[in-house]
Amino acid sequence: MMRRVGFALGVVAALGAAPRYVGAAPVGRLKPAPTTRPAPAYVRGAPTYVGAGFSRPAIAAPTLGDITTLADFQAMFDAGRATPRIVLLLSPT
Amino acid sequence: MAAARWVQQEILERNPTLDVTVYAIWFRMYPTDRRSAWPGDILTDPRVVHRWDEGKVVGTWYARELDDIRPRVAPGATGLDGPVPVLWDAYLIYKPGATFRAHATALVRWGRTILNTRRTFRDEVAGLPRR
Repeated sequence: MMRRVGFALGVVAALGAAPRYVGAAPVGRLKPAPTTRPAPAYVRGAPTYVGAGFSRPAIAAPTLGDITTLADFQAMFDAGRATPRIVLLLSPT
Repeated sequence: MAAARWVQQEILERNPTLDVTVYAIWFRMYPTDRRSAWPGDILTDPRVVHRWDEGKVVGTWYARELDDIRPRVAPGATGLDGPVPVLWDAYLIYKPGATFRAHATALVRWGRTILNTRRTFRDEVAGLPRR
């Protein structure tokens, strides 16, 4: 009986002292390094994993240019002829 | 502003693959309107190009073109019975290839007010190409 207990204790001690990994660490068990994912197009406010935290994707704020002559509008309109266009005529308030 | 918000939410956000360029032409129609009151946080989709038209040259030009474009007006359009010195609160949808000089022939549909004719607006956008 005493010999069995002694053997069991020896096995436990040996396992406890054994290194968890020998040589190269097993692939797939380690936590992967943080990666950066691009935000999906046109999905506003989608979280983007950046480093250790989450942040909103950078979206360029709209800017307001000027039209002073009809020729300005014509040039802009004709420059976009490759795609369908929608013209909106709006007042700001 | 409600119209601009509707376009952002119901046309652009609901159609992320819609291959379109939107020209938002802003100008003064109410006494409180001014360039500094431009609501840049409403129509934020990157497919939108914003321009301030201080002289209302675009709305005035479209008003002069009314006879040519009237056949393509959406059902339920309002404010077009009397003289129209400036066309505003309106949308105009064009096919690819449309040029300024021949715009009336490539006009798919237009409407006024935007909200009054929004059903037609939404239906016509559904037929435009995707990326």
